[in-house]
Amino acid sequence: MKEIIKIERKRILNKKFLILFFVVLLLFSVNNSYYAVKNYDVLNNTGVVQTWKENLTHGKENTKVKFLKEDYLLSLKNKEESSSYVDETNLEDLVAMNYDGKKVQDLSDKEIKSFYSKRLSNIQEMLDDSSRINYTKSEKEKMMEQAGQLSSPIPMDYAEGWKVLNENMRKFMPLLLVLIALILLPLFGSEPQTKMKDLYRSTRYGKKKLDRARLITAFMVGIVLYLFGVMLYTIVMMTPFGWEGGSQPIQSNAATFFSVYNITYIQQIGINVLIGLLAMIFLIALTLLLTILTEGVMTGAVIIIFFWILLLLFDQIPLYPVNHLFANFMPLRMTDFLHYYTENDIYRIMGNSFTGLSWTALVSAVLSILLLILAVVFSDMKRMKKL
Amino acid sequence: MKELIKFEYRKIWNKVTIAAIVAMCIISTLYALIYLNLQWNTIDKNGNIVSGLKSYRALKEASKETEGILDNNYIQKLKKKYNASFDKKYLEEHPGYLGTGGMTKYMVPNYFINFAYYGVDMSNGNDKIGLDYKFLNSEESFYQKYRETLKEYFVLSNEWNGLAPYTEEQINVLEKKIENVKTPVRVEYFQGLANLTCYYEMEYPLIFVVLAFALAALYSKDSKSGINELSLSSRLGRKKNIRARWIAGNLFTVVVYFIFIGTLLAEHGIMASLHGWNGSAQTFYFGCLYNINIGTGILIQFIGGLFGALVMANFVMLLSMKTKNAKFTTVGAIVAVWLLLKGQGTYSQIKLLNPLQFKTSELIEEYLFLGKTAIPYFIVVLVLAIFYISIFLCFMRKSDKKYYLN
Repeated sequence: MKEIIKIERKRILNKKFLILFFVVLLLFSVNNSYYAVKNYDVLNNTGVVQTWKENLTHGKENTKVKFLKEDYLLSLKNKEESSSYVDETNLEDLVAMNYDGKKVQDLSDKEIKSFYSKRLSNIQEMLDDSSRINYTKSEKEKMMEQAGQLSSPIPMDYAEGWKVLNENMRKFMPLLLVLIALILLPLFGSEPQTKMKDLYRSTRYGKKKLDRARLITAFMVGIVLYLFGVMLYTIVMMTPFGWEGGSQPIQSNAATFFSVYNITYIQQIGINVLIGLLAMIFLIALTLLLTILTEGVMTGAVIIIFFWILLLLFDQIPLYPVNHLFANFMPLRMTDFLHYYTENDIYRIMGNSFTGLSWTALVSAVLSILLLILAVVFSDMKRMKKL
Repeated sequence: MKELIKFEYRKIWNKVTIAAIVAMCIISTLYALIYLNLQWNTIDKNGNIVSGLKSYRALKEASKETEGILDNNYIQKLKKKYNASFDKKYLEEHPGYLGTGGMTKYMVPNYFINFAYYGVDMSNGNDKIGLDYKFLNSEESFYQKYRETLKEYFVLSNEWNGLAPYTEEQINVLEKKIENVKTPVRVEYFQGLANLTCYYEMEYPLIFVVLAFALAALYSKDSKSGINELSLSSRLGRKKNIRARWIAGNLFTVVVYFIFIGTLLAEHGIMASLHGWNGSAQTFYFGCLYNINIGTGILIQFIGGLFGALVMANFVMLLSMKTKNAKFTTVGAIVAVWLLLKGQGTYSQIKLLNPLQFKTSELIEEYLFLGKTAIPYFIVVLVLAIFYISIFLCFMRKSDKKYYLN
């Protein structure tokens, strides 16, 4: 079995493909990283006032042991020049989120003092006024309890690398998953020119054992490529920003300020990578099933590409019922990670409420298992009927 | 030759092609069915809110009241009716209604009238549907305001997105065209046609993807039968067969394009009806200066789209000829589609060169100036398509002379 897996792995992962895979991912990551750092250039009418390097260095130096509390807010409020460095703009973004776009200079002393209670009342308001979900009393209480557990004051240490990585990973994941799926297509998709199928099917290990070895190879190769891709992207994205701040709470980022998950940036990345892995397993199971059914590399590729187009179309006009019942469990939206932390979607199953994150993970895992079972059943059926 | 073309044409219809076309039709139908069912609701003729697919039929029924020639009599009646209507009251109480998939029979006439007020700032929504304007006191004052706004619309659009500002002479040319717009316009219910063009523009790239798969193997050496490289490398093969394949490829593109259009017509015709072909194009395309009906406008869009598809088909055939590998061609063509899609994300007129843009309403609304001559965008599309295809063909001819076995 080991030998067959090794040969199958070599068959689909030859040197040419590996180099191409690496180059595509590297180019994409470098491009993402370039645009991410360029966002930190401070501009005015005359051009770049501070380069991203100066901006980030200022941020690193001026955020050490800073906490989001009264004195920090007051220091910014009393500052005469306008804020331009990342440490100040971060704080301004958080104030704007909490106070409906208000500037820190416009905050009253009372508002500054009640910063964290205002955050809680905002979350309560979001739950009460949600047009999509009618939360029950106990659901609201549970979420508010979680939201209230955020240890305040929030440390405001420099963590731009993690923020950027978390925000940009959703752009990278679909590319990585599609590439892996395309690499795996030749496992069961036969090449008609070589006419090798008849030959290997008549060998001793060319039947059930070969099919099982191919299934194992698919998941092994998929997982290794996935982890490699994620590591490459993380390194390329983080290098210009630095690795500081991974233990900061995600609420120090304006995008996740109202999140009820009390986790750090590293934990957030961990969850994202795990969810991405589940999405990839689903896609591998789907790819295997499709190639077993169609037996053609190109036919499998057609269905995979059109499947992604469908998901992209659904993503163009996001409708709650479509997302809630379908798109949330599909790879594209599964890897659009931000919504797990901000949308507070819930699923009510047999009297229990599940968060969007946990239910998505569960459903995706179940769907992957079902697809895998179908793939095994169909490959056995086809082999037995000598199709 | 005819037989050869027929034979090559049949060969394109393989398993991969059929899978791609079926996938295209399924996606198109599923997408329209789900979104049109979930997103839309209408105020019917009795003032009830009807949701889902039946809302279109309810809107069509209710819109019978608002169909007609938008002359003085129509305007005065409309003002009275609208101001006393349940619809107006409902829209005032539900400010997000029209912006989130709500419909009312007053949309067609009222939006047209509001365009005369808002011009470039016109958009859908409850705040731009009212009729409290002084210029509605008479037909003359309304159409005078409409013409002034049209001029302003063209000048401002060009200022923001054009390649160069209009000269006085060019503005005069536009003014003449604006003067020649026939008024009063004809108002008809056209929601089915609006859906048709909206989904046509949204789903149009699907055709490009189908072509990327279907035509990738046309000149490749990794075809299923393995006989291609032999036949294409022979003396007659390089002369006749390559040309036959090119004709078959283009013929196939036309057929696939008609399948796509046919699917859309069936979907939207069944769901919301294709009523409204006869309405004035100005009520459908606000920036239209031609005296045509909506049907003709849509037909021009479809023809433009066909040219775009032919450009893509020839590009895929060129790639196939150059790489001689179906998989590389497919990947290259899909990357090209992605780049074209990215290239659409600009307001600049430079995007008009993009073949994905050949299907948009700009065919009816845009002009490019050469000195004092205003060239309609659909003529530009025709010239561009011929230019692109000629270039691709030229490169293909260079390659076909050297098409040998390895």
